[in-house]
Amino acid sequence: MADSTRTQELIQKYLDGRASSAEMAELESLLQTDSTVARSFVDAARLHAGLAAHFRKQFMIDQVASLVKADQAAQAALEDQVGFEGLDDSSATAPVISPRRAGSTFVPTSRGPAAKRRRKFPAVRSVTAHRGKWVAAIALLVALGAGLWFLVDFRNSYSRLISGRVTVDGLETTELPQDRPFVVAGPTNAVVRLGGGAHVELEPATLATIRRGQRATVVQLETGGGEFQVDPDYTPIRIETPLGIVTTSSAQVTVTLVTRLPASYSPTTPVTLPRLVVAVAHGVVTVERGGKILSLTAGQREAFVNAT
Amino acid sequence: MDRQEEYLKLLFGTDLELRAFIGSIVRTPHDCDDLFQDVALTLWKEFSRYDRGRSFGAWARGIAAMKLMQRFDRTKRSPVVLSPETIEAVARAFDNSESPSNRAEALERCLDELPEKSRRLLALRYERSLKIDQIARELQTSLDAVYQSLSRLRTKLHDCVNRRLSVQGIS
Repeated sequence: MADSTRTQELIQKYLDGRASSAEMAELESLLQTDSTVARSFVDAARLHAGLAAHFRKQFMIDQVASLVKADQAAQAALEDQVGFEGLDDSSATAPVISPRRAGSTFVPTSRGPAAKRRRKFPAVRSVTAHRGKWVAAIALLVALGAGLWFLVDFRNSYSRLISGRVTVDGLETTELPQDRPFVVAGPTNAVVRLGGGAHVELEPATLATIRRGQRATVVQLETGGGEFQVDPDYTPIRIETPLGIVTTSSAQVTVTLVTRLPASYSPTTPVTLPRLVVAVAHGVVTVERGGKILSLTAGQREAFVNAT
Repeated sequence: MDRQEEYLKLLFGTDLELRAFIGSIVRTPHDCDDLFQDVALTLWKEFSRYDRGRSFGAWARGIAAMKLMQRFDRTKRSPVVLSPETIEAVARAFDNSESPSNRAEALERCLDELPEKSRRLLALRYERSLKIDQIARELQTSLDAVYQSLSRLRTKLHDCVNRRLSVQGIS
């Protein structure tokens, strides 16, 4: 039976994404051969999922609560501003109260004239209390709808870093905002899930910007490149470069834009001019250059050295 | 109860378990959400073939395991990093230890007992989905300190949940 301290360490490291390859292999071996370790792993996974569910739910509740609270505060302030004329039948019996003067000093609603009126005229209080409930209920529904819409839209539109490092304006980030250039930092490739579903593995030092086009996710490539994986279920992608535009709705394609000349000349190495290289592993891509469209299919590789 | 209602009832009864299983194989919340949606859709499409005599959770996990295995590729930086053999072993372990339905409630109670500082640390990890190094930067402490604190908290919560469940007569 495995040492339980070591087992826990391996499981926690794995769940936090900190396990090395050797530790991963050790954990996998234990999971396959030791049912006690597998049980501990399941316990840890349940706790992990429970915590994620709790905190994400709490996040939504806090957001909705703050929206409702803000709406209630605005409603109370409005009541103080406009008085109660014409609200309902009770206004016929209740004395007409003049609206507050614009620019008068703020009085907390619990101590202001509206609060005094509520204490003096219960009928008015009942109506306004119900109105408050309706407003709160509507605000809650609107906030929930807006929250859900925001979440779905946010999930569909944002691009996220899966592994590696990228920086935006010199700051490291895991969410890539639209219309802002980012750079792949560090010596390893960066894997990004684009808004719309496609995945891309970008080379170090790649400089690009992601935009949301009408029919495709646009990657504006300034230099560098990588492997793009687009499935038919995903939003198509359009890779815009100064030497051509590569578009696909289903392909695995490597697009590399070399923009810099080599730092030194070597008689044994051919000079690499600025160029765009497109290599298709599977699927079909189109390359648009100088008004002409070229289709490339699986196994084809083309290098373009100028835009015409 | 119509078919759709029955499906939703079964799905919502086991969604936390299903998420726990998927989340144990794909660790980023975003990928976990994507896969959960994909699995939920497949479960609905295949619902006519579901054998009511079988546990819905086990059936759903079986389909999720198949999808996870299909995505396994160590060389392509796939979100699935565990091998099909390991995925199968994990699915089996989930099948052999069905979780009591009041586990979430027990966890809520245990979280209520934690000091604010601990809750804040957990919120950084699970609400904002920050990585350990990002948390360390935010709290201006070392990676190891964050890792140790999180490990201690999880152990404490795990013990607390089990204690509460055993008091209620569920192991």
